[in-house]
Amino acid sequence: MTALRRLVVEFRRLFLIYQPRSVLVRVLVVLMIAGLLEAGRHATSRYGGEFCRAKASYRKAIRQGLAVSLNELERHPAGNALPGMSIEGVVWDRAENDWVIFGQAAPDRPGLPLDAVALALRAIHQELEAPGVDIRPASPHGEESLQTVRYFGGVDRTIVGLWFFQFDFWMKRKSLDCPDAGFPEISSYGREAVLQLEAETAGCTSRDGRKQQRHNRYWLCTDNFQAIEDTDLLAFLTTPLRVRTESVPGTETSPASGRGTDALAVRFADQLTAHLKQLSPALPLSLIEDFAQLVAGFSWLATRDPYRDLQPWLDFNVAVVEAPTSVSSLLMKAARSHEIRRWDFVGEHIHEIHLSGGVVIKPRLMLFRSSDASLKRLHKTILENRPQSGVAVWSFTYDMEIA
Amino acid sequence: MKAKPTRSSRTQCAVLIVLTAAVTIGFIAWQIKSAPRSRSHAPWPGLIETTFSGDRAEPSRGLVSIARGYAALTRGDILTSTKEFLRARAADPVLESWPALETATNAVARLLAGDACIRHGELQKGLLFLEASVAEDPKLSVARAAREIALTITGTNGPVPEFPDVRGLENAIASQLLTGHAIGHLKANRVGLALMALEAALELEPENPVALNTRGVALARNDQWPEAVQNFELAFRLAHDLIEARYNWQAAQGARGALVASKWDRSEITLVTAADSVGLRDATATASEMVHRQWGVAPLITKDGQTALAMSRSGPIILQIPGADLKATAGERMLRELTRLKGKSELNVVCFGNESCNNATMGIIRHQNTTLPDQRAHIRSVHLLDPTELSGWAGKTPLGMAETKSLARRAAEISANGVSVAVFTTQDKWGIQHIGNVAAFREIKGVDLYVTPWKGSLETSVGVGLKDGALSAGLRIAQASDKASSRSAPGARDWTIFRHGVQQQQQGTLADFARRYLGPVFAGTTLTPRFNDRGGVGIGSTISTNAGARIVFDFLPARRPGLKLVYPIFGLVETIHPGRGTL
Repeated sequence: MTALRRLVVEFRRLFLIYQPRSVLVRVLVVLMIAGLLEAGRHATSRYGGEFCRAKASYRKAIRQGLAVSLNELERHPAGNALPGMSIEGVVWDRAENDWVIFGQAAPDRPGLPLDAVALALRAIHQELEAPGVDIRPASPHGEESLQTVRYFGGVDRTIVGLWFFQFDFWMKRKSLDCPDAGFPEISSYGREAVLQLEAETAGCTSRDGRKQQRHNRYWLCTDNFQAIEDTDLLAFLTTPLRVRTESVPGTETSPASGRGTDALAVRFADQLTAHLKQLSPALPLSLIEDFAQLVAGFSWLATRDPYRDLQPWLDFNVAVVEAPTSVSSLLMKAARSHEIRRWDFVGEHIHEIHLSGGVVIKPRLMLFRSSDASLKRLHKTILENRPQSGVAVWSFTYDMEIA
Repeated sequence: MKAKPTRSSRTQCAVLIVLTAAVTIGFIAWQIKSAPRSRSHAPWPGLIETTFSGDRAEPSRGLVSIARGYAALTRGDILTSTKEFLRARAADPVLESWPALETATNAVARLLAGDACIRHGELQKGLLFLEASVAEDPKLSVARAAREIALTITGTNGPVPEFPDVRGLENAIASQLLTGHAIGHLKANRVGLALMALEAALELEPENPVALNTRGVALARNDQWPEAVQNFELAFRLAHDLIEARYNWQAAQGARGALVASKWDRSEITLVTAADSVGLRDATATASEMVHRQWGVAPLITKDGQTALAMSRSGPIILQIPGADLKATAGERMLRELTRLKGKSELNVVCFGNESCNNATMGIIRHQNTTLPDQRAHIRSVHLLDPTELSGWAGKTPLGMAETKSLARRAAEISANGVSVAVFTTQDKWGIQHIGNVAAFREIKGVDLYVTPWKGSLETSVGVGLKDGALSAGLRIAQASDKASSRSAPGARDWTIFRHGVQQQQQGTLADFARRYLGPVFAGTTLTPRFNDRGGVGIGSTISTNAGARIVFDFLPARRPGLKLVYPIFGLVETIHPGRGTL
């Protein structure tokens, strides 16, 4: 409103300065202004979103760049894996009608198997749900020690499903304070939660006989993925993973009364997030991150090139990997009780904690517009270095200064 | 004594045969040429070529897509047309590159120009082009439908009539028009009328993804969230380019308080084959009953293998295959479907009648003989229903002959490759073709035989009349109620079962017995809330995360989600809020 008022004031000043005497001229000026405003409104509604979008500049140098052609992988899938690289982005090569993944060579990093490429493409093309895994009690009452593992988003019985499971299983074991989970620098949730439960039970003054419960779940998720886009290239800025807590406090009949966050659970999740880099050598975290980047990159490419024939990847023979469908020893059901007395009732008030959770990979990209020609130069560099013959992987060097 | 044919009589015969063949070929060619183009009004490729020739060496991909979309819609291919229209919006043709904008000289060019304008937000200009197109060629039904939908988008069509006039329109076009009309009702908050229009649209084209997505939104507005979720899922499975249906699916799940895992987590396709449409309908009804009893879910029915595959993750599928036409001969059609579906789905085969049983078993054996065991289609069972029943005129006479011995041999061969084979037939049925039908299968190893006594009746009458001036007498069959429908009727019947060399008597329906071969019972008959293992993160609950106070989990919306409506043809998207009501 303030801006509008200021605009009106400016127009009045203009009128006062020039003081058009003829009524016709005045009318014409008013009409002209109205026309300009209408045109502006039209342009804003049409292009406003695009203009308002933030800009960013790509400032990374890729000294040992590797680019991988999806066309060639389709033709010769014998290699079975991408080279060891940290993925930096994706390119649409219009001339070759090809999708290209590029990144920085990292020989010490395991290369993503082609199965993961196929699963990422299937996830963006035909799956209703984002890929993930969920481990939770087999029965609705959670009494048995057996927990069911559910895979969704097309990763059931695949290597990607197994990675998800491995991390999730470890995460729960760690939260339960299992000694073989390692990483003593991360304090577990279980022990502290039981202590807190005892304190809570001791200090409970509730007259309500309903069982007091707290359900906690930990989810490894993609956090705020950020990328810069140009016409035919997407370059990642940050692709962090994050452990989130889902706390459902409440009572048996009212499972979630919203009485607040479980601070201990949040602390545990934050600790895990902070230690993800240290956990990488022991757990398939770098592979999960690469997979998430592929999903994000392919999602972007699919909007640019909806005509890409993905059938070869939908028909791709993904190897069957027997990932567990049920696990035991992941149950944490700590319960403490105290007696409550009312004029009409004498009974036990039970406080319980339950744990479950999973991994879900659903990257959402925050896209910046490119503020300079850096991405165009990067695009040119990658495609100029592309060999003539049908080679799946080629190298390039991109240096900001040289460029 | 037979006379030996002379050289001249052989020559005469040869000339006669050649002449007859030439006349027949000529007649067939003339028939094909003069056959009316029933569905395609406009010779699309030619018109499009004329419209754009010389203007642009390489038309944009979006332009090509849109033209293909209209062509597919005109020939009644709703899935292809939807795919092309949806892709065209991502390709986003540059408006200025549309030559038809300046030189629209025919109705098709004006239609394409109007389409381009509407896709670019130039609604009024687009409407003018569409009006001109309809005025120039009132028979161009796609233009009419496009104009009606454009009117709904612009909201300039005044009060929407309850039901649009779709007389004379092809099914696919009428279905799109009704969908557009339903969107108009939805925008005016007339959910009941919208649902009526959508039911009509889906009756015309059951596999119209845009109509399914719209019905999902309408159902969500009616607070029928589970049904809405099913519609979104089916719409996305049918057309993966309809990403709004996936968005709606996820949003609707969130609105229900929890994201749920897909309740059907396997792929089960039942191939049903019969010689004629009546047999196919009856066999489908029987198979549907079997599927429903075994898995507790009503199957989705389709005639297209690709569609079956796409939908199979949403629930059990029945794929109908004509069993006795030229393409089905010697099992060719069955072989093709098995090759397409192998490795992607669990299969059951239900065949009705002699011809389709023969063709289907031939196809299965050809597949088994030409494919390595670990690469074969996973067929759980083959059901042969009334394998001695003949179709067509032969089936209506009691003198038709059915070949059962070779069929029984093939059934045994299929069974030897690890596929359960069950034969359901009727004992003492009237007619030569049924003689020995029980004996033919009873002793076959590995084949289970279910026999029910014939409960049909035969009414005959003797007539006397004049034929060519002479008195003649004849036997007439007045009524023969031996149809499959009576055998597969819902009521229980007595069955004699021959299994593993043992004979048993049991009572039940055909579906009761046949369903046992379909596959394991589906355990997850109820929805599985992922964030819910003790009553649920239910409605009105709060989820606290470490990213902030209240619900921050990215797929659990804090409030009612906006659902995305997609306009038919133009693919424009409008967000609509479910409105009042409780979740």
